[in-house]
Amino acid sequence: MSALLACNGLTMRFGGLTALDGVDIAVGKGETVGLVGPNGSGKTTFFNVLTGLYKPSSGAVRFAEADLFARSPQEIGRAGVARTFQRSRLMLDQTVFDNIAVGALGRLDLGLMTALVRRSRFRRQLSALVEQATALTRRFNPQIAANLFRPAGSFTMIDRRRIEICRALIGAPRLLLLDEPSAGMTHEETRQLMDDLLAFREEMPDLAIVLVEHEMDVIRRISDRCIVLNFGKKIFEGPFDALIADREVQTAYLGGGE
Amino acid sequence: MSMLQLAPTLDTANGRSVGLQRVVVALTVAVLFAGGGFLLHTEEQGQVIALLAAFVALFALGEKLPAGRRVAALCVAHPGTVNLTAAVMVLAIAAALREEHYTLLMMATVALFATAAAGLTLQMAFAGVPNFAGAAFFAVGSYVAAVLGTSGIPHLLVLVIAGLAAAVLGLLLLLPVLRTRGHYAALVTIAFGLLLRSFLEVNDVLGGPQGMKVPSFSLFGLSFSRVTEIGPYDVSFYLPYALAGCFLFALAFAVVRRLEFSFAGVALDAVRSDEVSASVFGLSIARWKATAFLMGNALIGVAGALYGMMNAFVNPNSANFGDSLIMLSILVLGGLGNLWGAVVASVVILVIPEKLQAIQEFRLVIFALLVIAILRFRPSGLMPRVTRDFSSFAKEG
Amino acid sequence: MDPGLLAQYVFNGLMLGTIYAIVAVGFSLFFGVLDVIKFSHGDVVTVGAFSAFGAAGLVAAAVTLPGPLALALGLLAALGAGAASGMLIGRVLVLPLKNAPAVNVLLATLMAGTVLREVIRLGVPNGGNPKPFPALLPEGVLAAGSFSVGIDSVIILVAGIAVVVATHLVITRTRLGLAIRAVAQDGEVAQLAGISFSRTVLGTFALGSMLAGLAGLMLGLYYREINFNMGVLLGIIGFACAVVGGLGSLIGPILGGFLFAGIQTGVTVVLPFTSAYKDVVAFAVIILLIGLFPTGLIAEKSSERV
Repeated sequence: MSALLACNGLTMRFGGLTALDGVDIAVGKGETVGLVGPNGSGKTTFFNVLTGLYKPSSGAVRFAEADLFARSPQEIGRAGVARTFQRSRLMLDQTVFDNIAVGALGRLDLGLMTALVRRSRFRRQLSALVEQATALTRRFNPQIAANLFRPAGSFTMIDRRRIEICRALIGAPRLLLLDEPSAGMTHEETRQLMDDLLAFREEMPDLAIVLVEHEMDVIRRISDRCIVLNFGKKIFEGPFDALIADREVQTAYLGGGE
Repeated sequence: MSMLQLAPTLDTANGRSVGLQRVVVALTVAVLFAGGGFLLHTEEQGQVIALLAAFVALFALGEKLPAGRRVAALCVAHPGTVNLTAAVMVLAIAAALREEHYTLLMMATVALFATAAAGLTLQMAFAGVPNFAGAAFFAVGSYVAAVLGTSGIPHLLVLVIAGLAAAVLGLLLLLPVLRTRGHYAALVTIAFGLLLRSFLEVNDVLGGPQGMKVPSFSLFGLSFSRVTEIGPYDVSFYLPYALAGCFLFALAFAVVRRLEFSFAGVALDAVRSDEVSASVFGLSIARWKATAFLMGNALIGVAGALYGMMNAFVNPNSANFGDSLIMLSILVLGGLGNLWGAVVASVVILVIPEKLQAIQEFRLVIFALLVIAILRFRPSGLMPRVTRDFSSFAKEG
Repeated sequence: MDPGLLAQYVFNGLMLGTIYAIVAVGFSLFFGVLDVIKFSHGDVVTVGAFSAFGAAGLVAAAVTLPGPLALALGLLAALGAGAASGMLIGRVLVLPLKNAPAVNVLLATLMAGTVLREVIRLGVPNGGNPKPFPALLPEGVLAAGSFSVGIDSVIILVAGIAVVVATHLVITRTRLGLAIRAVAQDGEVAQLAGISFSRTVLGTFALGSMLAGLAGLMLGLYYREINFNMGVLLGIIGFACAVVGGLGSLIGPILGGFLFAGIQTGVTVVLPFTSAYKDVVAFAVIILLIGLFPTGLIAEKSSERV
């Protein structure tokens, strides 16, 4: 099968530390993959390598038939990979709209002539983007859509996370990487966010998602397939039910966790 | 002066109340400018102190009283009215004080330093690139004016070349500035400022420590230094400089505002606040930092050229580190990213020490303590940058 | 070139390098514990010089003291005033601003330096003019062939190098040094280990600023003249040396100090007719080195958590 994303033997070394050790991960179009593992097992490192923030030491990364191994974050972003971050990385004193617009800048006209002289062209783009951002945020929470021009910092944690997801989605990515979306949220908030994501799933059947999570409940509800990393190695791949039963995974969590 | 007017703002309220709002805004701005003009002009110590007290009181009211905050919010909501009133007031003040050399010189100085602050705003407030060599790039502009001013090249073109020269010289610093951040980038610019100053001092081609004479600005064959009357009125030859300085600031203001209210502005904010997420979303950090750094230096260079022509001379001391700090202080005191704040801060830093004889001797200490107090207790400045709100632009469709 | 003259240049270069290194080490110490640049550091050098001048001068006016006693008095004054002004600025300005953007702290401490400078200019009688610094060290000249050097200069150089070595020992061998290194590594973890964060930071400010005060005394003794402006360029050079060497490291700034002095001296020796360009060349090299090694020659540990 020709996967949307195919990583082979992906290895990332920091000095003497091997954070990713020959990892093979494939994700198909429209698939949701849950990525789990104890702290320090290499999940976020995998995201950072995949989005170009770290340069991998060896291996291969193919995405939509293009070679994305060790490319710059810019190239990878433009190829259609978007992500959220474990710790919120919003511009809190800027409006929700401005934050979401950042995710769309890759396809907008950023030329100085448009900014300074051809203002009508800019306004057309702006109006279109406001419409898109309104539609997108409304799916998650109509309150965000209604307050699109309020500072992002004035929203609750769960809404900020929703805004971050909208920022990642507005650029119409083909692969979305979610880094612990439930971090810092209550059970109830996590449940709401999952409902949002599942509803969203239905509407964008082609979007592939890789989700890093500690909440097993979230993984169970949302992922088609699970991958477990431990000490930078893939130790398990398969459906959630098999994961629960796997002895090696249990040892990793009970015995080997930090 | 309609070029001053940024995109007009539509309000959802009905026409009559919008009209009333605009009147309130126009009156507020007119009062502030009238007070500013009076402050520029008066030499009477009692009046200066009374005016300063009045400004402080007005400022406090605008912040503390609900009504004051409402008026401030209206001013933010009607930038077109603010700009138009400001332009009219500048013309009125210039007309009223047309014969006053010293007042007009100060007006021009404030306008040109505010223009340089606009350049620094692009660099520091938008892209987050520190520039501790503002005075050096300003001096580059003056030196270009000195060298090319007598060459027969039209002076408008000389201003453009001065801007380009400052940008090109900034290009030398681009690699180290792009590869570094924070303190390291700051040091690069500090070192450049010192380097340029030592170079100008030891190099005789550009006049050495004595510096060079700069010819007066001349527009379409009319030399500003020979303007002594307009129609039936006697005027100071600083009048055209004051008007040209304000015009230049208006241009810089329009550039900065339009850039801020564009997707390029969003890109710059994204790069400044978080390079990691900006690059993940496909933005080239180098491109935006370079754009802001070069454009900013160009603006500073143009302002410096006109300033040199007005002062008729330039020497290496113009490029000194202390003056770069003054420019930075204007930016921080006014509020990083707010150009009206930069105008207010220019007046505070450049004019008030001239006016208050009692503090002449202590001006540096007072100025330093003021900046420290601002950084310590009100780090967003006297007039903090207003959160960009695209909603008014989008509604028009 | 005449070997005696060359030796003279080398001696001057060593002296400059030692002074730069002492100032740069202070910048690096502050950065190590607090990740800030305290730009008033150069003016603390001036404070040290003027305090020594005042102490030695005032006492000399009242009673005649034997040389060593006047020197000891000057030394104490330089160290005390340096430490006091450094800690004061650290306490009221740098600590409260520790989470502010880097540029704000730079600007605030530059302004604090301006205040120190202006206080000296306005507070010292006739403070705007250069002051002759008393000769507190034994007179006499050591000569070898065409090379001659004052005994006082030799003492200053030896003392300066001893101070650099002593600072190294303080950092590596003492409890304060251990605390400084722990806080530099990770302030929170150090606090968990029972190390007081603010006391360590203030201790660092005291140590670094005593070094600056000492540099002021050395400059006064060496050049026999002090001036309210003397710290400005020295501060910038010290900062440049620390950055080029690697902020937060201890060896880096020393390396940077001798490198800067070496470039200045080298330009003077190799291209005597362009010696006026020595600062131009030195700063150009600084810019170039930062471009090539953006985090200093001895790289500071830096990792951003994503």
